Amino acid sequence: MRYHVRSVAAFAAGVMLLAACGNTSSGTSDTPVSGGTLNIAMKDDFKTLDPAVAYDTDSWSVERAIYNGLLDYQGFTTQLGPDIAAAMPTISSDGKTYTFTLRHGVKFSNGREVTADDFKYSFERMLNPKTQGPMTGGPFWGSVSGTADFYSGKATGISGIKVIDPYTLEIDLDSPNQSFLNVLAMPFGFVIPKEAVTAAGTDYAHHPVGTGPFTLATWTPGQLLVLKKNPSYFGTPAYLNEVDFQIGVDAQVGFLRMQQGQADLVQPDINMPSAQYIQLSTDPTFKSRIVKAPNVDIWYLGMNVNVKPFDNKLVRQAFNMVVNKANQIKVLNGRGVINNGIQAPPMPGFVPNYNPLGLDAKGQSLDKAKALLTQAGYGPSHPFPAQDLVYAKVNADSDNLASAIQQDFQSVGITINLKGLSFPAFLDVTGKPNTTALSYDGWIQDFPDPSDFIDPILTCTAANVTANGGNVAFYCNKQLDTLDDQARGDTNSADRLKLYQQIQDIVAGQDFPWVPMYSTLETSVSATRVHGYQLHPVWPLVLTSIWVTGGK
Amino acid sequence: MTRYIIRRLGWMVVVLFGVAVVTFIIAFLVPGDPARLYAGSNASPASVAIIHHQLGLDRPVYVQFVDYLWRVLHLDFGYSYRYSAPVLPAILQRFPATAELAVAGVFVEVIVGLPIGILAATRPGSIWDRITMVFTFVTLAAPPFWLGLIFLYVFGALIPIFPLGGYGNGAPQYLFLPALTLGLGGAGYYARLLRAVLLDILPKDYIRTANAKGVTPGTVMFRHALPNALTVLVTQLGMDLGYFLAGVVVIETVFAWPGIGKQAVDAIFNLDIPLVMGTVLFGALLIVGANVAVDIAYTFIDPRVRY
Amino acid sequence: MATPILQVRDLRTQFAMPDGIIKAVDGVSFDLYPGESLGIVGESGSGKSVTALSLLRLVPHPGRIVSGEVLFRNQDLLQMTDQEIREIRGRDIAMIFQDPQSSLNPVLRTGFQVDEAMRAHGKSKADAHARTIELLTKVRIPAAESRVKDYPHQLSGGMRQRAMIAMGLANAPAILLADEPTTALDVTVQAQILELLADLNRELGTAIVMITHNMGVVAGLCSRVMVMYAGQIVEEGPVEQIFESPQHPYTWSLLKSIPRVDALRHERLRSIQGMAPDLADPPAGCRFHPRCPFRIEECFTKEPKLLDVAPNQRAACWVTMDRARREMGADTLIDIHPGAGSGVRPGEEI
Repeated sequence: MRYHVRSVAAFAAGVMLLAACGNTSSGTSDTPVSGGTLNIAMKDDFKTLDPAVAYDTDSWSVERAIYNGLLDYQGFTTQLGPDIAAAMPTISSDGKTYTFTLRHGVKFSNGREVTADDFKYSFERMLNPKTQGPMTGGPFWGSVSGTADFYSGKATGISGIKVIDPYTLEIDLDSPNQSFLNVLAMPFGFVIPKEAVTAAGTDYAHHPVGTGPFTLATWTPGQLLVLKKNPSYFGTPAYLNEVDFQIGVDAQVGFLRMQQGQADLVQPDINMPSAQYIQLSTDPTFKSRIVKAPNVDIWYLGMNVNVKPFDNKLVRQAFNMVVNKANQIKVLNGRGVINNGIQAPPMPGFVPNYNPLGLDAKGQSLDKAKALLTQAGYGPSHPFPAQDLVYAKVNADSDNLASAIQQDFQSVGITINLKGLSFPAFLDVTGKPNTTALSYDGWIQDFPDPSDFIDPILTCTAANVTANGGNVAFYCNKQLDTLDDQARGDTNSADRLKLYQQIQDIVAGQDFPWVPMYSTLETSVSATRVHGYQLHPVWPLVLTSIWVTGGK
Repeated sequence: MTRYIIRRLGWMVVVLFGVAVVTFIIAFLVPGDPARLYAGSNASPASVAIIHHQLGLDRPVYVQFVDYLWRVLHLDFGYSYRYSAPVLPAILQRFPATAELAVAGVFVEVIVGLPIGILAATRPGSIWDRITMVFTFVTLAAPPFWLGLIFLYVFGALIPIFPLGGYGNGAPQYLFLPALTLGLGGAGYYARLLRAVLLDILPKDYIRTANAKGVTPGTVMFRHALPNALTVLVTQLGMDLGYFLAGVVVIETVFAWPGIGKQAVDAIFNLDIPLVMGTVLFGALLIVGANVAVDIAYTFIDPRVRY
Repeated sequence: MATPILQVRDLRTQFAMPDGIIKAVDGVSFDLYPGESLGIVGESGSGKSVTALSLLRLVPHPGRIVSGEVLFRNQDLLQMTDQEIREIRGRDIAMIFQDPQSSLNPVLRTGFQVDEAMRAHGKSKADAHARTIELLTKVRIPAAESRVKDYPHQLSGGMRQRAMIAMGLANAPAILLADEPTTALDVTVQAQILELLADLNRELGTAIVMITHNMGVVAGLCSRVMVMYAGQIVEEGPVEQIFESPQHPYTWSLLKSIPRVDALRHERLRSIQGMAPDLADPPAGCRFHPRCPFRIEECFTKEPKLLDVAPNQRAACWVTMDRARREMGADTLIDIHPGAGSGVRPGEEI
């Protein structure tokens, strides 16, 4: 997932596995109480609540509360478990046929029971080009049999999605795919009732109907979105009676509201802005209420391997030894850890203290870098050409992070010019082949599987598309792709993780398309009346664990 | 008169057409593929290509433009990428909030700017004049975003007498601070303008005539001087109202005011081109409309003006 | 003679300008008698208008009355509170102005502006309105009932001035200060307005102070005339007497510059030479000496006092025209350069 952190459409999530990262939950050991309203200040209005279309954390924060899919993560872990499915699916020995049995008695908030037909309808609608959803034609669902014919209009349905009986759904894949269960757990796999879509006409986005612990009560665009507890929810009911999303509240004002007791959470799905983090981490009331968790992301400099001077591997290797990664984390107020690889903590298969180039504690090896540059033919008589560093200006930190890089390279005699762009322009420029030589990039997980940090950003497929690809280095190594294909189908998870570690060695220890730099920590804070608030390793916001005491 | 109005309305159409052309060109030149933003920043390129086609973005530019104009002529401003909803209803849904704020802002501008301008003009060079001029300078120079946050902090958090932003269905206590912030910025300028106009009017012969009749200073100011300043003042108010209506972007952002300005900012950040173009056209319509309204108002204000 | 209705003593009005203090009125004293018609004559910048404005304390910023007394019915107008002087204005002493185009408020109906003169002094709306129509009729505005609804721009120049006069007369004031009331009007209308003022003076007994640069206007209307030069009165006396025998060379030259039907062609050219003096730094001695054809040595250093030169006539001059005629051939002088008659430093200091 292309990173657009701490801005309008940030995709953030956190993991609570690393105790070293600090608290991941706030609140006390008090017994939960039911009732009350949780107030959440949000900067922007919600884009849509149509799960086939929404691909941003704001929308997912709400969708997670009003919909369910076949599978979900258990508690605050990355462990998948059944949701509307009665149990984990049976998977055929060739790994290509998944059979789900549905729970009985799961009802949409309109009172009708969910059946396998609803899943088939929801999936086909979600993948229908007319719906204009982002999964259409993409790789996540691409392995489902019959999608190609469906996209091209040769088939009116997807042959690989089969309703066996009202409570049995079969999904056939063309080839085994170990990340497919994670794909099913994404919000695109949420089930919706056909009659609600029909009733809403062209505006289902604003009239969602689901099975979740909450239902949408009102949504006044630009002002307020109210969720009410769903009395007929099939799972453990939520503690909260109501959740009010106050829309359009700027972060600064949001935190003022929190201090005045008018808001309980402020933009919980994205990292706290630096200014507020510094302020609240010294505030006697709120410093203990700050929760931190890994963001499961990787930030790196992408070097376009097709563009001079980065077509020279020696140059790319030298660049890997120059960036003061500790300093980058300092700019982020310490909210990050140095990362010399391509996988983020705590992704399965992540290698702690990975350091294939023997860099120092700051992530540098300046003498070696100079030697490599000399070896590459650069020196006093042939100075290294000045480079543009393209980065997205998404918040106050963007410029500071980029200038720190500029200074790092100054120390080895390389001039870097900063080119800060708006996020759309950044995506445009970095996605075109032979356009951008050096860019400041980030990636955050779609789901907790290491394939998500390779398929979309480091494979030949991702480099070969004509525009807007995720592989900003346009890096292509057939050996890597072979290993990746092998891993996708490998049912032995230990072997599978080894394959991903081999891929990491190829990228970070041999070919150097990136300068991996760091992974960040997400920080969030809640008002004192909030209990049970935790950062989820995948979901941007989980409301069901929260209860409130006192206040309105 | 009727001919004049028809001519002005005709002119309005020309201006709006020009705005539509310019907006379309700018929107087209802005880097970034709307389909990419519509799909989400990490949708696969194949998905983006499909959406690109679905949105009709792969058609030749002139086809897109002619199509756009044709639809605009039928009051169809297109479909917002971001909100998955038609543009015009989205704007109209947000417009009452902006209208309320704009009118309140103009009200504040007059209530604050008028006395200050009069005070400063009555005693030019005095300490009052200087104090008021410093005030107007400060309100003029203070960035509305900063001023708004200060107000929110002082009157929302420190002395919590007003809510910390929000619309509250337009209740007065919610309206007060944003209207004050909006109006104060205008009031500074308005006071300066009024001072300058009055300093021009007060030495006029007819003011001397009024004084020679023995009327009170209040009568001189309000009956003899101000009505002569009215054309200038109303022009400014009309322009401000148009400008406010067209979206007081910053104020709406600070105060979480659900108006068209805030919506437009979101639209720009999200490359929601139909919504951006719709808002700009709508804003242009309001500004041009306000200007025409002002011109027509002249005939009522100044008996010498006849069209 | 009766008691003066207005006594002005040593009036001084100054304007603080960036480049110095302008002494626009510099020690003016005179009396005005009830029902009298007094002309104040002088070039622009001589201080005649500022004198009139000073009487009602209407001097515009940055002007200031620095000293003097203006006794109206034995009350000093200069010592009154703002409230008191406002009650005098328009009720006891009214003023009408030069340019009726600019002196009427363009956005108020004419009738309203006349009404206001009375309503400011306590008359009811209805009474004022009735009187306005009566007044407008009196000043010979035809169809006054409908004209009251007109805005000033809908009236002709002459009608506007008549309306101004009606406004001035609205409260039957004891004194009417008329500041160049005919200057902006064409000749025929000028004559009508002057005739009107003369009639009103006669019928209503209103004392008129006529401020003008035009000796002809004074001749047509006034019984007494005061000539001002550089902020001071240089000559005063009954109109016939002054016209017959002006004693100040400035008065003499003003009278010479009136075009007459019987004048020889060259006489038209014999207007005064040079420019009005800089009042921030007036000439020493007699203020007129830099332009005076008949100046003598005293004129350069010593300031002449306003002294009796004939019964009822006073002038401030070291030479006086009687002597200039006798000794300097004033009547036949064609060239009137400074010092041309006296031969003292001829041609200098124009």
